[in-house]
This record gives sequence, structure tokens and C-alpha cells, in this order.
Amino acid sequence: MRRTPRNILRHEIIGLQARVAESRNPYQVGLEGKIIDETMKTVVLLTSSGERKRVLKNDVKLLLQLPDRTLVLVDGKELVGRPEDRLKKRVRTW
Amino acid sequence: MPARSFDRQLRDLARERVAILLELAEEILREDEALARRYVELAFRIAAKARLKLPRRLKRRYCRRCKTPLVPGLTARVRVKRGCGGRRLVVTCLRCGFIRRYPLKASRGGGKAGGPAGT
Repeated sequence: MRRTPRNILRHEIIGLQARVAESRNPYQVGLEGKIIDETMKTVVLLTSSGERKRVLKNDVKLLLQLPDRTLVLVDGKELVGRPEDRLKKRVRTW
Repeated sequence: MPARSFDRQLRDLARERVAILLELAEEILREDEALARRYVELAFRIAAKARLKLPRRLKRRYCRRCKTPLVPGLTARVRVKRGCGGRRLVVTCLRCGFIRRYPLKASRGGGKAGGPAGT
């Protein structure tokens, strides 16, 4: 089952290219990079300068680029939860 | 949604996530071993959550204890040892020292009892 905008909340986000679209911390807005790790409440981005930036899922909206180059804007609040628990998370569709 | 199809979907999703993570782990192993271990750990947790059964080939490719991807010559030592009760394949994780022994069946023409399969 490929990653699509429909299932991305329950799919793997590690490895995707991401950009911080909105954040409660203005310094984080615009951060861009590959997602290299994920914890229950944070996401770690590897920026092009080689820095690792950890951002709180609860505070940001992320623009994710799927492997097929489609862009999805995801509210980080929807991503809160351990990666393996998101698998079974609410099957909300809209 | 009927329960069974939901379950199927879940496993499908999980299988893909596991595949993605394990692939990433192999890719990054030479640059950042800790991260590679992290990916394997996550993959295993996802598999457990979805009650996925990993094929033997995958189960044996990662250290049971520290989750390092086992690459002969880099992170693992693979030896065939002779001893009581036939030959054994001994795989040692060079990172944590964990030793895993697999019995080798008296060859049934090639046999499938391989260790950390082709890398």
C-alpha cells in the first residue's frame, strides 16, 4: 500500500522530504529537510546543511512531499503518537 | 468496514512501512549505525503491532539484541562450526557480541538454512 495523502497519517513518514509550514516557534517556520527520525511527540529533520532539527509535532504544520512528488499539508497534531501506534489510529477520512 | 478487511489493510500498510524502514536502515548503515538500529527497531515494533510474521530471511538479518543490520565482514562474523550434533552456523554480532547459532541440516541439496542471507 503506497503512501498517499489519504493514508499518510498512518503510514511511514521517515524518509520523506518535509518543510515546516507553520509553527508556534517562528524560528522553525521554513525549516526544510528529510525526516530521519520520529518519536511520540517530535520529528527530526535533516536539513541540507547537515543539521538535525527536532520539532514538536504538536506545534507545527508540515508540508510533506510523498515519493510521487505530491505535497500534503499535515497538521502535526494529527501525527502525535508513537510511530507504531499511529498504525492503528483513527481512520478518519474527509 | 468489516473487521477482516480492516485487518488486511492494516497488515498491508504495516508490511510496506516495515519494508521502507528496513531499506532505509541498509542504506544508512555505513554512515550512521545508531540510526540504522533505530530504523530496524521501529520496523520490528510495527511488525509486532500488526502481528506480522517476518520471513526467516529478514529475522536473521538483524541482531536480536541490538538490532544492528548484520553484514558479514562489517557488523557480523559468520562461521560454520563442526561439533556435537552436526554443523552449526554461528553468527556473531560484532557490535554487541550477541551470538546466534543455527543448526545446519545435513544437506538436502543446497538447503535453505542460510544465515544473514545475501546482503
